[in-house]
Amino acid sequence: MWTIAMKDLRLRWKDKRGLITMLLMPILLTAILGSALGGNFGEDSSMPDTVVGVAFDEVDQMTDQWVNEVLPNDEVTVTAFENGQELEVALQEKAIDVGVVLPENWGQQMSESEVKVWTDPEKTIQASIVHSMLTSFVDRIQSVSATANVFAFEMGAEGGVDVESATEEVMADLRAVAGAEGTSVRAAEEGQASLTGMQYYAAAMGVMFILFNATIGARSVLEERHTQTLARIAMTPIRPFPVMVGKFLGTLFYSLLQFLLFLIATYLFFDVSWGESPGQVLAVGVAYGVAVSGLAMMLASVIKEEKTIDAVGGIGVQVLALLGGSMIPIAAFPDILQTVSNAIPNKWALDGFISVMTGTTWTELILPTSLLLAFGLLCLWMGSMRLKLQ
Amino acid sequence: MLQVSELKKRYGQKEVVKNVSFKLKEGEAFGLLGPNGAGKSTTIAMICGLVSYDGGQISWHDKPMTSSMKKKVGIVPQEIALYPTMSAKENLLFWGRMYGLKRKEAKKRADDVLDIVGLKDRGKETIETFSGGMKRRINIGAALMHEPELLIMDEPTVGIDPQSRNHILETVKQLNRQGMTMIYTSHYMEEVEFLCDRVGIMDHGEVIASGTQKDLCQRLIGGTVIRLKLEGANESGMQAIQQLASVNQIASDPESNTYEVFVKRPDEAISDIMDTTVEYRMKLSEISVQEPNLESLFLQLTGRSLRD
Ligand SMILES: Nc1ncnc2c1ncn2[C@@H]1O[C@H](COP(=O)(O)OP(=O)(O)OP(=O)(O)O)[C@@H](O)[C@H]1O
Ligand SMILES: [Mg+2]
Repeated sequence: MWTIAMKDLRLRWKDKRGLITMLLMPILLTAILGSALGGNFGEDSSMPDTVVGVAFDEVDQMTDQWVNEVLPNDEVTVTAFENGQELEVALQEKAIDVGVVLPENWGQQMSESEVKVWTDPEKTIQASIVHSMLTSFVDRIQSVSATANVFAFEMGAEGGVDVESATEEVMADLRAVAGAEGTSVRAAEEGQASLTGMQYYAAAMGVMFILFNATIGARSVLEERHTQTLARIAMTPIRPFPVMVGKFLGTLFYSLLQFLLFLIATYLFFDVSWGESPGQVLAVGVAYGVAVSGLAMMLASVIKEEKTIDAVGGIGVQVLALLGGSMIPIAAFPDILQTVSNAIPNKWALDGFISVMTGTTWTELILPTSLLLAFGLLCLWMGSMRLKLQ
Repeated sequence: MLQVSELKKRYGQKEVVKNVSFKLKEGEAFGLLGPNGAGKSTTIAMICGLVSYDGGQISWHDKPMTSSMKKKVGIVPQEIALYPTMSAKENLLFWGRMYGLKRKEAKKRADDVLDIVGLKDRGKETIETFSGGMKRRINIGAALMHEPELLIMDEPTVGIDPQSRNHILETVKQLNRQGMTMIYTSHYMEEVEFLCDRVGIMDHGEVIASGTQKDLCQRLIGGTVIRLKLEGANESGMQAIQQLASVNQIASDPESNTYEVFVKRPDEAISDIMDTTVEYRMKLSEISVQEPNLESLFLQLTGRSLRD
């Protein structure tokens, strides 16, 4: 049993490409998403009330997002104009403080070079703040989509994931993320620390990437069946159930290793605080690892082909990650989806991590961790019942 | 030590193994010879407890087989069942540990086994960098780690070069000389002739003949095969040959115009056959006499040759 688990761990450790995907990608994504969210609009607070006029001739997703969601805040009010002339008039009449003219197709090209920012000479500070907000938005969008591309490429290389549709999905999700406002994702409840974007996305990305172990673990069982090593193991004196437990443990250990490295990396490099209690973080992490590894054995028992598992895994992880709040905070979902998301394990894990980050008691953690453990062990048991070694 | 009696297996409607029986004495090498799909691998899988059987019995040292027997048996599967990204030695260690060896024992034994299969200096290299023949050797080595009493090999030489094949055959022969009991399946009769004391010939899930090589060859009706190549063969001519007093049976392969004729007294038969071909205006382009062997026995029993 241990021999099988250690062998699997070693095999996975040797798979350099897999290692990069599983260890570096989540860290990279956290960095980008986290900093995008935590984007420093430092001057905001010292900014006097400002009315910004924006002229654009086409409404697309990006423009709409910037004009209606990103730009407006307590101090900034936005007025839309049909064209540059109208905007100029308004500026002269002092109806607006700063004017921004977006070029044609700005939403598609996402560059700031042709954007004109006008202001009256007394209000240059406001103008430069608006300009920097624009720059940071464009930067964010660009870096997020670059990341999404790399990510999709890596995942595509891993297996037969339908790269294009996967990319589109991830892009769409990430765009929404980049556009999400506020540095505090979840309003602080009484007596609790508030949560930064970085913290949220560290937890979210960690949860999402650990979820990939469900596919990886299942795939490893299918591969072993394919190469007949599983049949060969079945011919040794070891009984089938310990064999499955061995495969399960291999997946679990790898998940935990990945989780620990991710914890350390986010803590050291991005100062992510995982809360006051390392014990609680580990408890949630282990419980989640058990859930994911159990799921892996379950998948291995119902799916026959490696190709299927790649496809199912690629899409499945995205859907689950999305539903579980790893892409966009769940609060942003319609009610029905919020209800649905209560049924998925990665959401319980994310909730668990977040409550640990914001401070919680052990008693409150009993529910999510025991749910996760029960889910994992049930899956493992059902998987081992169904699975044929040959 | 191992007795298999009336073993049966069906997959759906198809009876893959029907009433297979054989016995194995200590130190013996038993060959299972048969063409593709004969049911050799299935028989072995049942002995190893990998697949269940629908009838019959397997006993080990006169007791019904239990899973504890698995410790005493080493199996070389037909496929190369190794981990390609691990080194040869790591693979051996893993399989040794699966058979219950302690880490230390396994390490020591792995070196010995690498020596036995002749890859002592390649132990650190990963399996995926190995040639087909080297992989096959490690595949055998993995079954030797726990020093089994009985070694079961399922076509351990398919798809490899003659040099590796000879090496493997020599190694296996050596192991048998040192007292290891073995079952060896193959569709190469020359391998079985070289290695095995006793042979079972399987076809369509049945053992159609078994015994020592000598027994089997004597069972050949007449014992000798004459191979003919005829141009312009016609039915009445062939019938005439079949009816010759000196001829027992004919197996024909019309596509290549070759005919295998089983005869008692070769000299007499040859002259009879020559006369008949002239009489029926068939052109005899080749004629040769073959000493009896397993291949000709198989041919006689089934009318087909072992390999197409
Ligand atoms: N799992 C299975 N389900 C259905 N049929 C099977 C299964 N395994 C084997 N068979 C059938 O059983 C028959 C015997 O197969 P087996 O592998 O035992 O032959 P073999 O003698 O080992 O042949 P080869 O020389 O090709 O290895 C074949 O016709 C095969 O199609
Ligand atoms: Mg076979």
